[in-house]
Amino acid sequence: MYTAKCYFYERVSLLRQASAVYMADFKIVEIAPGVRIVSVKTGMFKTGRIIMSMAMPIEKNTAAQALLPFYLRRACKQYPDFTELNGRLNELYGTKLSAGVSKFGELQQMSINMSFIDDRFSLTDESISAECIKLITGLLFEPLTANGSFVEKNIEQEKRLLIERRRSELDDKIVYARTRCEEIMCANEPYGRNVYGTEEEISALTTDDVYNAWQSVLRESIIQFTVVSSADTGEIEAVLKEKFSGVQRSVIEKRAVEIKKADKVKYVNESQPVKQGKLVMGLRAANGAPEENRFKNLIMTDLFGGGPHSKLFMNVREKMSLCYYCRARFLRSNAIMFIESGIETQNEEKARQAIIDQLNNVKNGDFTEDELNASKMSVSDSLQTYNDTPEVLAAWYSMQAADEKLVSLSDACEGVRKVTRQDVIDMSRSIELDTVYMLSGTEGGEA
Amino acid sequence: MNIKEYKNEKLAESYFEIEHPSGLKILVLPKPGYSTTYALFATRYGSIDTHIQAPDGSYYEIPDGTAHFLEHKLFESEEQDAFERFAKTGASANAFTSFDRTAYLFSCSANVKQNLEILMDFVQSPYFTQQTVDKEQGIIGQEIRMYKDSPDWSLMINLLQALYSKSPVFDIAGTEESISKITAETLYDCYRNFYNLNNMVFAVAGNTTVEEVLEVADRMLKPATGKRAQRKLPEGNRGAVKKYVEEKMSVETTQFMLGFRENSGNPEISTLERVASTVILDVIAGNASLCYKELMEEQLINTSFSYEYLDGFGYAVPMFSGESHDPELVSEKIRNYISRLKKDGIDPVDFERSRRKLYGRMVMEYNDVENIADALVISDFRGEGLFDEITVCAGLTLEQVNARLKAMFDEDSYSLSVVSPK
Repeated sequence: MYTAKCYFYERVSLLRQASAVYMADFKIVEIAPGVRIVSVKTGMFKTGRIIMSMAMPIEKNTAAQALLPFYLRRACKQYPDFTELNGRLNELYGTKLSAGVSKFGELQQMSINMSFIDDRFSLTDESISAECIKLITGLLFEPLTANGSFVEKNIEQEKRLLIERRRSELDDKIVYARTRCEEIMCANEPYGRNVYGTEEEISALTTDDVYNAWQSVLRESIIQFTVVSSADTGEIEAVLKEKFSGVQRSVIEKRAVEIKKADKVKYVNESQPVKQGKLVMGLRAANGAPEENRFKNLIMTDLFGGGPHSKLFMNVREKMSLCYYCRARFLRSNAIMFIESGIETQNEEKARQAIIDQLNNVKNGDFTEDELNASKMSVSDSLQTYNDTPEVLAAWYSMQAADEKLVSLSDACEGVRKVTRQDVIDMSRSIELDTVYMLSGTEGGEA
Repeated sequence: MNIKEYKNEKLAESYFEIEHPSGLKILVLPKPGYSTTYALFATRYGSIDTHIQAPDGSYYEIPDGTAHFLEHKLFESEEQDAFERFAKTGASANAFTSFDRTAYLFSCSANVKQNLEILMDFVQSPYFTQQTVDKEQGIIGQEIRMYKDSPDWSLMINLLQALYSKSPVFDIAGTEESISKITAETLYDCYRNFYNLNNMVFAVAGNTTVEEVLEVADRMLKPATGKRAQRKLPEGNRGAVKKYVEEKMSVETTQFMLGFRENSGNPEISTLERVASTVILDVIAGNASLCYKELMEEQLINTSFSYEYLDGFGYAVPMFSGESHDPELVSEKIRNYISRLKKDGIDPVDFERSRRKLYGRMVMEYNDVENIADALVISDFRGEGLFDEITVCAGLTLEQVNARLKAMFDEDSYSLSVVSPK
């Protein structure tokens, strides 16, 4: 059963996003100003999941904040060497520990994630969950320090690893083209920043930069511990209350993201020696993305460019054979839509036109009741299945870490159910093309 | 009808195995509390199956990439294609082709019976015409090109080809040249040979019951008309491996994959061998190992470094992969480390840590209905039960692992595959 990876060709290459909604009850416990635990108690899973997330504005200290979770995950006072820390995780039945950084609107969210097997499955008497809570809180509060700063040797290693991670991600041309389109479209907005900062910024980091970022994060960031587990959260509450009692908190103020209107269409074409071209189109919703339009935009985007029942898949891919993948996604935080596709470079014009034609069809209400229902059913069906994976369930909550009000699955399904034909038309009509980015393949044609 | 239940008390899971009168084996693992139902209809037919056995026992060749091509075409019918039918129920449908199997699947949280019905129906209803076959070459050509731009995929395929030469065939989609030879007749031939119910398995996990699945199966399944397809063994006389292969691609980072061809006599390895191999790979190259620490501190690898044990009918390859500015040095260091370990044996503490890690990771897999259904299929195709691996892992000993270590790495049959910047 244990297979690390699978090698196969999939029929439908969809953008798998960790967007999920949850139906059952959750509990919120405030620990300190801007620090909360969001927990879901369930005995359904074999594992527990904890996500520790810290959000800060993205425009300043981007690189130091990007490096921080990786430095914290590497070692701590109790396990000063990564080999010892990883050995301990293995003893705890292969507990998974990872660090990450992502962006939501104008925030950069750092995270450390942990998955561990439930105490029921231990082959010994040790309580795995209690050990894991100690471990993860230790990573945040007792990092490895020397002379009032972080340890230089480790910072240097993590700088190298972050630069290599950044390069490696951009070797995937799908990610590369997406990132370029974001940079070009949002050049003058915080969202246009690379989530890791630039290579130069990372190289220039000092131990003090990252140490100071850690101090700021403890004092100012919006912190959420998302816990999905069979156990009560009493233990983690007690640990966190004690730790945060020593911290003078002054939480960052969250600004509303400024919604820009689409201007004159920006067009950038770059070439690389690849076989398949990548076309990414960035669009803006002129009426913004207020909370009440959340589910309307979700359905509009799905009907236009979601699964195999969508306009883009059925027409641009299946009928016209213009691309292998072609899909749309909507960023609620910035009211931006991206349409990504993999095409033959010489078909750029045709593909662009075909995509715009499909969008116009939606705007003109040229879609059937069946198509609308297919989208509503597909979205609400997916929302419910998210309930069955602890990682996805926890991710749903941690993605809302900076939102004051949490949205539940019943709300989401209800919201989806209410979307009407006119809603879809109205939402689509406010969408205007802003940027087109084309990565041309110079080795296309004869493959 | 013969229905057997298999239980694992420690895991608190059980599943049912049904020999359906149609000839199809059906496996069901209900997950109380889950909203998702995940179903897979799979056949023992992948890219490695490049021959069909004629009634006289001889084999004739089919074009590379046919399994994958057939998978694409099976979604179509004279009326509505399968995606359109699933669109009406809200299920997410998909399919995939791997080295040794093809599977059609859906995931849903409502209308389970209707979805089971569509899945069973469309997989049993081939409809191929020369016109639709010709049209598909465009889409598959795009897909082949997309994979050719993927460094991960090239790295892997190049390694396996360096180790195994032309057979087995790992390049799942074939080439634009090979798929141009596929006709509607080829597809019907392959369908008859590989898609008869005796050669297939149906697995369902999640929100379902045996009764529900059987109610639909009894209505929908037509009695099998053929027998289990006999796989052709890859060429017996394997030559030397190519020790080094490199491809230049449009990347900034150099990637490598080091693999060892196992030269055991059997086409497939045992459960014990597979589990022991994974533990050994973790002892050698897991992120708590000394080898990992050394390579990391010398800045020869980064966190992308990983290991994997890949096995199937006619192939078994322990492998190490990652990014490095000096893949040959990494390869040399890993190979030296393996030689030393073979001489000294595995440290009991290292063994226990890696065994526990693997055990925990196996437990974790049972959270996910997709993993479970896939594992039901894979274990059945291997002639094993779903719980065999975790049972073996829970009882694994140091002696077993040390014995396995001796047979696992043939120091002459390794190959290093590299993808480097243009």
